[in-house]
Amino acid sequence: MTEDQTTPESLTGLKILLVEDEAMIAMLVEDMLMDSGATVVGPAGGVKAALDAISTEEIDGALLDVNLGGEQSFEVADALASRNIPFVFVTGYGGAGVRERYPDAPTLQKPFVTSDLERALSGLAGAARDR
Amino acid sequence: MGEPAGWPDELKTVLVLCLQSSVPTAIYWGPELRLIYNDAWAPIPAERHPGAIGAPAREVWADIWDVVGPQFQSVLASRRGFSTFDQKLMMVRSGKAEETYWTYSFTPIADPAGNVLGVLNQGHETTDTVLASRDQAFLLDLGDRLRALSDGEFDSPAVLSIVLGALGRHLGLARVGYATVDEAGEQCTVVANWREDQIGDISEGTFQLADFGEAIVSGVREGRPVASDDVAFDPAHSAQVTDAFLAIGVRANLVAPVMRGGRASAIVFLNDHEPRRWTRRQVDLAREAADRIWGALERADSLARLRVSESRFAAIYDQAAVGLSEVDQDGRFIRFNDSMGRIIGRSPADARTLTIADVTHPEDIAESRAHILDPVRSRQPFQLEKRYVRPDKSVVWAVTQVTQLIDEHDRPSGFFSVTTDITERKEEERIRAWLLAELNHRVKNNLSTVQALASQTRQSVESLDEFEAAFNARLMALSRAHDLLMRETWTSAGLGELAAATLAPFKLDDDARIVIRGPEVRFSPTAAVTMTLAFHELATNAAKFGALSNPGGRVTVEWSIDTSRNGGVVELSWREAGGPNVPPPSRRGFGSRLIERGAPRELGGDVRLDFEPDGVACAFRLPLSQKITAP
Repeated sequence: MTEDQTTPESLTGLKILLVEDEAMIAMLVEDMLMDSGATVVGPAGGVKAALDAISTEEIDGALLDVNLGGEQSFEVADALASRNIPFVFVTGYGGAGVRERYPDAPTLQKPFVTSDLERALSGLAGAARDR
Repeated sequence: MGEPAGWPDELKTVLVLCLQSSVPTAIYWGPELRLIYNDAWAPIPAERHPGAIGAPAREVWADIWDVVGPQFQSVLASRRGFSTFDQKLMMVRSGKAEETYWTYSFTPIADPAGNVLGVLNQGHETTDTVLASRDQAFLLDLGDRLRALSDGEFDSPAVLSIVLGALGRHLGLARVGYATVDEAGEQCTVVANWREDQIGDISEGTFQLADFGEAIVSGVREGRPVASDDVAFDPAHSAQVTDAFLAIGVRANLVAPVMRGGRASAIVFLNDHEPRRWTRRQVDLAREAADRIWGALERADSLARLRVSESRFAAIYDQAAVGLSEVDQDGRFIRFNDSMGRIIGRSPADARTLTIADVTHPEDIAESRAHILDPVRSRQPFQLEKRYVRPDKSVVWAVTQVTQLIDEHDRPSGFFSVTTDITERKEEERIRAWLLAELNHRVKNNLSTVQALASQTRQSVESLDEFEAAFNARLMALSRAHDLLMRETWTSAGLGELAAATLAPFKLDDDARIVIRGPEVRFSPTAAVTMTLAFHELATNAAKFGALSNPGGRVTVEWSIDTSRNGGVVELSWREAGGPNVPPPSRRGFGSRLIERGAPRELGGDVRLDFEPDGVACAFRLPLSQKITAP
């Protein structure tokens, strides 16, 4: 068994903040996270909702869509980083600028399947358990 | 002089000397200075020989007595010898006074008592030498005067005016002119003539050469000068030829052809209003002058062509649409044209104060410099894509084609550049790259949406057939939303059009079944997709269970904008009427989840979905935002 191989419900017990403005995609990713055993916080459709969730909820990691209907999610990333909460960027439309702002952040390119999501978040899971 | 036997000893002695000498020697003897001379001296009096022998000097030299008379007198009176060099004597020869020059001496012959008995004369004519050196000086002076002309002054009229005038004055002529000869060698056209008052102006006149005699025609054809001392008494001339000359005021004529490419392309003509004896020397001088005129005119011609070419180049340079510039070896501008001025935002008048580094974008200076300093690379024309910075800090992208300039010593002297503003092209390239990246992102995003549709549809169906029908219907709704967005170049879609396009398949050709009304509201692309799918789910449900499931049912989609709220709120309602009684669903599926949770999260605001007996009622309260706008 190699380290990055995932098992069903590999995200069990983790509270993951989902920041995604498009309703359909939010529903898809929400289902994927739940299938992997995670508890979903959100989905937050915008920067304000995401910042509210960060300040009120105990979260282990976050999945951030870069473009939130015209506004970018870097402010959310900054808030997460300042709390040492690990996160993964989801890029699709309007993902420009991620590399410049967060050269080391893991990114997930749309479209993706559950195993991609688990692989991207597995590192976060380890980091969360180590905390 | 009496019999020789009675001559005094002095005369005898001198006479022996004289007759034995090979130097031209004459003895003027006695009070009347009667002339005795040797064979060498005989040609000097010309046609006066031999009649001059024994004749008094005053009679023999009546024509020059004004000069030599006093010279004899002074020798007789002073009893001293006299000599002179290049003495000018206007001597009559062949009935005409001629300018002649002589170097000679007068030596007194005296008796033991000191009385002067006669004068010994030795000497020779120097006319040719004197006139030849004058001609030489004349030609030198002519060369100096032509050289004194600046390139700008050096044109045909100036050259002709100088040479013709100088030649006429030097030879004391009435008229000197220059005429071009046609290719057939038949006629000539006078380009210019210098003249004195006693003769007329014939410039711009055209003459048939044959009218002036066969000698001139053949002379012009063969490149020989032709002279006529007196056109009225020239044995070669018919009466008509004589008249042709007299008609233009000519008695003495000399024509020197200018030969080029085996034919006479022009002639120089020398005219006098009186007969004159042309000398070999004058003929040669005329030929020399003709050659000089030709050479000078060729130079004038090439200078004129150069001026035309320079002005043409200047016009091209000034008006070229591309930037043209010249810099020296150190990158200092020497000049640039208006187009280049526009590119770099500077005036051509300031060229000398600027360097390439002054106008180049700081990040591109190193590359420009590397090219210019590389002796191998810079020898070949090269192309640079670089940025210039204008004084107002705006940046211009340009392509510049650079060619090394080489001076007359084969050394690099600078660079010539042709520069084109490619800012627009660069901007287009940037937009194209951006569009491609954008297209990639949008396709990926749409694939995610399709993936979500498939996933959600799978959760609410019980068979693959059912999946296919539901999935296809949702995919078509998504596609119609895209059509609307495309129409507005993917900026936004109108709420009315969204509703109409999504609900159109459910009208079943009865426009009354679905009523859509409300003011202009626009949805951003992702919001439009979500709203389309919400309408689609409501309509699908109505078609299965609600008002659209029987012929009498009606659906009303209605909205208004409540501006009293903070920023404005769109109040949108979906109401069904006339359908069968609908029991509330036992479980809530994809549609409810999208409408009740997904839509409000994405669009802000809230949604109330009620399953009432006469059909579904759904109320959206959506705040105006970046995603939802009203004019």
